[in-house]
Amino acid sequence: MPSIIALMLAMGLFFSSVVYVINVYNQKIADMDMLKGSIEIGRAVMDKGVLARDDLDSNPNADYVAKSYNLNYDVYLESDTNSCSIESLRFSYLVAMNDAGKIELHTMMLCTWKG
Amino acid sequence: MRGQAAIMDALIFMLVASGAATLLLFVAGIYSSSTTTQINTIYNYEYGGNALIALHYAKDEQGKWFWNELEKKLTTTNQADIEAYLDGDARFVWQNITASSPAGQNTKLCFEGAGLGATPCYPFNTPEPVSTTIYTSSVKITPDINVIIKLYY
Repeated sequence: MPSIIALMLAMGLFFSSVVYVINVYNQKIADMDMLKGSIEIGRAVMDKGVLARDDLDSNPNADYVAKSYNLNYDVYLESDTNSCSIESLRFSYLVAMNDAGKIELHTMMLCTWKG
Repeated sequence: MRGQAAIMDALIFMLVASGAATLLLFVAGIYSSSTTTQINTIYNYEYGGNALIALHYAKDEQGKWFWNELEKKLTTTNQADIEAYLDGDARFVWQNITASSPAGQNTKLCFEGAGLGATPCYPFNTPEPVSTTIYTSSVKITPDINVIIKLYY
């Protein structure tokens, strides 16, 4: 009887750790993908040296990258009143913004979350 | 005796299974951490490069191109004048750099080759952060002088 209990304990410990590791593995893959996708989106948005206001609202390259990573994203200037959703990843960049023919330096925020 | 041997076998099996489980948990703990570090490294380098590009389009409070003014001061004036410019007309440029930098206040703008002595990094009056990891991005402002943005972690 003690040997059966020891065997069952060992099997239980081993298989529960396998299940745990698989869950952690999947979660980490998802987190890494999200981080990588976010940086790729940032790269797509920052592709040009100077951004226009319209680039913040609509950027086909960034949209394409976001879609391929199944991410949603939002871009805004920190001087604006927008804010990220609580569960999003946040990245900031220094950008030159061409606003109605006037170029100014701003902090741009990029927020990404799972789509 | 046979019962005793079976118990011993089971205990040894449990020991092996525990070792295997521990190894799995250990691997799960460290898995992807180096990859995540590499991805964050990319973000920091991207920031440095993009910041230097953005600085080319920046203007100071007098409406003059920051990059041109900086180039003039680096080639013709001393450290005190450069500091006065970055603290004065161009202070919002520096504020934007530190506000957006992933390293925050541990960001420095260095001028290599400008003859500014042993501490050619703005802010000049603060000591270099004690850091094991530094991300840098640089560009030549003149054939002899490099502007380097450094992020300390």
